[in-house]
Amino acid sequence: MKGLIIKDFMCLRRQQSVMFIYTIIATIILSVMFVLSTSHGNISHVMDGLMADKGFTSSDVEHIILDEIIVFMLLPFALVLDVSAVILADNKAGFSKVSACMPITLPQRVLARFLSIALFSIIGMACDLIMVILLALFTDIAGFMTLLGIMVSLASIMLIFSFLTVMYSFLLGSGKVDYAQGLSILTIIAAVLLINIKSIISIFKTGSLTITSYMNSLNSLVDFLSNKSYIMLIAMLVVCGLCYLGTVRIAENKRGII
Amino acid sequence: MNVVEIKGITKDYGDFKLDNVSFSIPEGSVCGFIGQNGAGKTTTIKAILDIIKVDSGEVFVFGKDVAKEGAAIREDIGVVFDEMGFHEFMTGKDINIMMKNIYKNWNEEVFFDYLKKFSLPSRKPCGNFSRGMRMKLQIAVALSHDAKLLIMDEPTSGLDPIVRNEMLQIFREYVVEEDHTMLLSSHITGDLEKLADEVVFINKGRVLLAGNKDEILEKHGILKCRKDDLKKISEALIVNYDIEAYGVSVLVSDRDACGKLYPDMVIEPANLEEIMLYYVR
Repeated sequence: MKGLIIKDFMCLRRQQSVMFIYTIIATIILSVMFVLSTSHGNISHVMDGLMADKGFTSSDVEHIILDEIIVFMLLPFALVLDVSAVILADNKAGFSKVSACMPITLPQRVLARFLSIALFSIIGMACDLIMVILLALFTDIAGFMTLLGIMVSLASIMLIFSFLTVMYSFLLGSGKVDYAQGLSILTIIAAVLLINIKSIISIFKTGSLTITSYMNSLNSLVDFLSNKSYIMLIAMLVVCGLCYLGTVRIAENKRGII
Repeated sequence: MNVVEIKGITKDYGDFKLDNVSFSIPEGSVCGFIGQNGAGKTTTIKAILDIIKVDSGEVFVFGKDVAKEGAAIREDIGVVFDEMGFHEFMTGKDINIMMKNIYKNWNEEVFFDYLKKFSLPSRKPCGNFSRGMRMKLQIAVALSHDAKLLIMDEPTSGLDPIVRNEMLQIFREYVVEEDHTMLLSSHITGDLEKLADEVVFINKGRVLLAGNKDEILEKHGILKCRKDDLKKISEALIVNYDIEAYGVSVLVSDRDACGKLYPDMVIEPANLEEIMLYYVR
């Protein structure tokens, strides 16, 4: 099983290494630029303007900035957890017939893929940690724990996406990993919509989305990601378990095909 | 002792059915698995390796049920496919790192010795290898974990005669060890005739012939006669016949019996290819 995980890392290194180095460099540069801009540059001026002219509170401004940071923090995860690169590489090589002949059971083969994904996320977390430390040390945007909470939440979301992609790619076939990713996104969107169905209905009932209600939604989202990351972590573990069981079941049913 | 024992396996894919396949491979022998493309050779191999779930029947390897102990059994099986399944960027060194973390008996010294013996560079990505080199790489992997059973699915197809001969020599060296057994699937019967002790002939998912190669070759013969004489030959002895311009060639299933019954007719020995062609015709 360890050999399969090593092979997955080799695939990731081969497929994504150049992009990964670019992303790390870009993330660090963006973080530094962000730090400078929020202290002395344009972001600082815009935020001051928003508070003076538009009636935004300092909390609103912090949340808007955090919202942007979330996008930066998502980049390393999006890259290292692009499990499609590994699935497609296996598919292209016809590796499934090699792995099927190895002294490994089918559930162990699936587990190896899930463990690989979990280990990939550690690389993403390491990159994000650099950014978190930089932002916590040199800006007043948010404390270390808040940023760490966001990082854990983002890692959990991306892991959920990857686990779903693995399950759907077993279901649809490894050649249709693009569709598997699309289905994973749709599943996550459906879950988010279902969880927030009350708020969505109330927005539709009032018939308009005011700047205040938008800011409230944004603030609550950022607060949720930073302060309630344990919920995302638990959700990720539950999805991981369900996806593992589902994938093993699908793999057993499609034995000989995948 | 039989290393492989297949008892009445059936697998129905709808458009193709592996139908009640049974045969066994004794320890220390080379079993040639012959059949046309799509005859069911690969499906049978998949059943032996427990890659597919059979609808009915049982497969025992080293006396163990593959349905229950498939993973443990595969520890002692080396497999070579017609196409290399390794990622093209992988080097011999990469494959060694992966395999030593998979097989308990992986011997990296043996692996690198094989790479050297086969003149395969260990630092070059295997995607740059020729077809012959790719096959040799697979064989090196299959032989580096002390496999007692080597299963090869069309390993020589698409190779030039020189590389094919080299590979046959490697297989001969492998079976020198008494406890080494080989299942060699191929539609190139010439290779099997040189190497095999046992032969299993499969067609449309059914085993038509199984047994000792020499006995099969001794038993079968091609009887040459005139068209009018065909009616005289017992139908029980005729496998199939081929009407030619100057007479009829008949594959008979008992050469000795034919010789006694029809002493005036010419009976020539048949090779595996001819036997296969007459059976499937």
